[in-house]
This record gives sequence, C-alpha cells and structure tokens, in this order.
Amino acid sequence: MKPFLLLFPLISLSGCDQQEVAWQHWCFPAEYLSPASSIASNAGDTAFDSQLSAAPILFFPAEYVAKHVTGFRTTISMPDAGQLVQNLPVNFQPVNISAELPSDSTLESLLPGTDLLVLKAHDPYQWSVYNKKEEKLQLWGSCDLNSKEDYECFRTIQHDGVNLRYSLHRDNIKNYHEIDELIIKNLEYWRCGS
Amino acid sequence: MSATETDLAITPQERAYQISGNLEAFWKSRLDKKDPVARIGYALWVTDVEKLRQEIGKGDPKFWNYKGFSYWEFMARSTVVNLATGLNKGGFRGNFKETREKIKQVGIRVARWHIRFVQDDYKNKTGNIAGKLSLKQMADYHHLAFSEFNIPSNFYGGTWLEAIPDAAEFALYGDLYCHDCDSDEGYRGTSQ
Repeated sequence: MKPFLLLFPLISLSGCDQQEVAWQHWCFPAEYLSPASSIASNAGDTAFDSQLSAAPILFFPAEYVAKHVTGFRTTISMPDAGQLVQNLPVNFQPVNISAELPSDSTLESLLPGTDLLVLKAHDPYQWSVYNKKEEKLQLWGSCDLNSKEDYECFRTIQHDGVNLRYSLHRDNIKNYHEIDELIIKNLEYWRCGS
Repeated sequence: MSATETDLAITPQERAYQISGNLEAFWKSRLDKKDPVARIGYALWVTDVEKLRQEIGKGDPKFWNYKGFSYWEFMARSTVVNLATGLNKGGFRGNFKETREKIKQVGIRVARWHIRFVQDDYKNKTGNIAGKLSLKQMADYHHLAFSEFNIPSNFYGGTWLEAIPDAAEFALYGDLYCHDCDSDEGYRGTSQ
C-alpha cells in the first residue's frame, strides 16, 4: 500500500457538497457507486428474480486502484476481447459464505508468489480458492476459467458484519492483500459521521 | 428445486459456447432454461430474426413480459446502436466491420460476466431462485462489461429500457444490427 497516496483521495472524498448514499452505517460517495445501485425493482418484469438486494454496489475505477496498489494492472489484453480496463467492482453479498474446508494434503499452490491454495483435483471450469490466516485454512474465494490459460476470480472478504465480493483478473491476483486493505480503509472512512 | 423449476446452473457446454464466441448458441441454451437475460441476449445474437419470432410465438407470454417480437427486436437494435455510440464516446474508431467485431467482443464479455454472476448466485443461493438474476444484478454486470471497453456509464445507466437511442443515432448506427451481414454499404459510422 502507498500510504501517502492513499491519504489524498480519502481527504478529497470528504467535501461537504459530496452526494452521498446511506446504507447501514455507511455514507457512500455517489461517485464510487455503480449506476445499478439505485435500481429498486424489476420494473414490473416478473421473469427476473423477485428478490432484489438493497445494498449499493461499489465501483472503483482502475486508475484509482492503481494509484493505491503497487503493480496493479489497469488494462489486460484478452485474446477474444482486446484490451480490457480492470475496474474494481465490489458487491455486498447478502449471505454468509460457508464452505467445507479440505485437508492440507489435498491442496496445492494456485499461483507462484501467492499464498493461495486450490484442490489438486478441482473442477476445470470453476474452483474454490483457499488461504491461511494465522495458520488456519479459510475460503478465499473462487476462480473461473476464461480461456485455456486464463481465469478471473471473485475474492470474498468478511468485514464489519458484511460479506464483500470483488472481481479481479489472474494478472492482478498477487495484489489482493493491498486491494483488501484499500476497500476496508475506504469503508472505515465512509462510516457515517466519521 | 420444484419439478416445475429449471436448473439454472451454467453448464460446461454453455461455457464452451461463450469461450468459442458462439453467442447465439449460448443464449439459446439459456433461453431454453427461461433465463430472463436470454431474451435480449438471444435477440441480439440470433443469426436469423425469424428464429426469434418463433421463440416468442411459442413461448410463455409472461416470460416475454407480454411483449411481442417487434418490442424485443427493437430492444436488440437499440442496444447495438447504444453500444456503437458508447464505444465511439469511449474513444473507439472503426469501420463497419471493425465496429461489428468490437460489439461482438463486448457481447462475449457480457456473456462472460453473465456466467460468473449466475454461477455465483446459484452457488450462494442468492434471492428467491438460485441462478436467476434480478434486474439489478443484470444491470450491475452490464455496467462492468461496458466499463471494460471505456463505454461511459450513462450508456447503461441502469437498464437498457432507460437508454433508447435518438433518431440521429439510429440513422448512424442502425445498420449494425444485422444478421450475417459483411458489407459496409450505406454505413455512416463516424470513421467513414
């Protein structure tokens, strides 16, 4: 994390004329919310799932993330889609994620240079990822095949009574500790009245 | 899951369709499961609009939101025009063929995000029906896919229903909604 770079944008978000959206104990600056955050109904279309989450959806532009996370790649080239901008969407998940944890002997490293583990025998299309916190195995998230050699992941964090899910490409996965920290620091800053 | 509900999990075959860029087959497979997003997805990528007409004609009117072929065909055409306009605003410049290719790339990414959101929803049993998305979830990942291509967020502000192109945009990009077309005759895109 780049502490000095982080300070300025946090201060810049605190302007009193900033439009904010309150949810639970947070007051989110509107500029960091996805436009989909404000959708409260299915507009009468009964084919959709009738239960909508009331939670806002956070959206950090790639350039913003790169200012705070060393080595974060703002664009990544994919063979079927060209250069794609790596923005950082963050969803509040409505459920507690629970998972059966495998034994250490069944796991291997997902990617060199990371602490991420995956079952040696896992589904080729989508697989759970684990890491260890204070020597204790925990679910990190899941990854999903993009093409033969490429994948994208959903990282899940439990923080302050909520589950947060964000998406990141394999090429940015080594940065997940700093990304976790960036999201959590912003959430702490966005507590109403802070 | 009750006997009348379809299993909305993403299948390996559907993943293979998306990875190979066969969007018509991908969305047809989802349509057969009554995935609500497949209505516009299939309308966008079907190679022959008569197939769309037939699907709507034989389908459950409630699933099609009591809207007929002309509505869904117009929605698909509007989406293509919005995409072309949004790509242009985001800095993309291309001729007819290049613009269609770029729109296809956006379509592949939309399908990809759809797979990820549906699978996550299915696994975590979000909402009332596992694997079925709400309008909000659909809008969420469309915004993500569009933003990957620098398409400004107001081109997908919430739902496609809120973003109907104007007459000038239809005149400029309307011909991009075509099936098996490969000529840029009459195309008036901004690079011409």
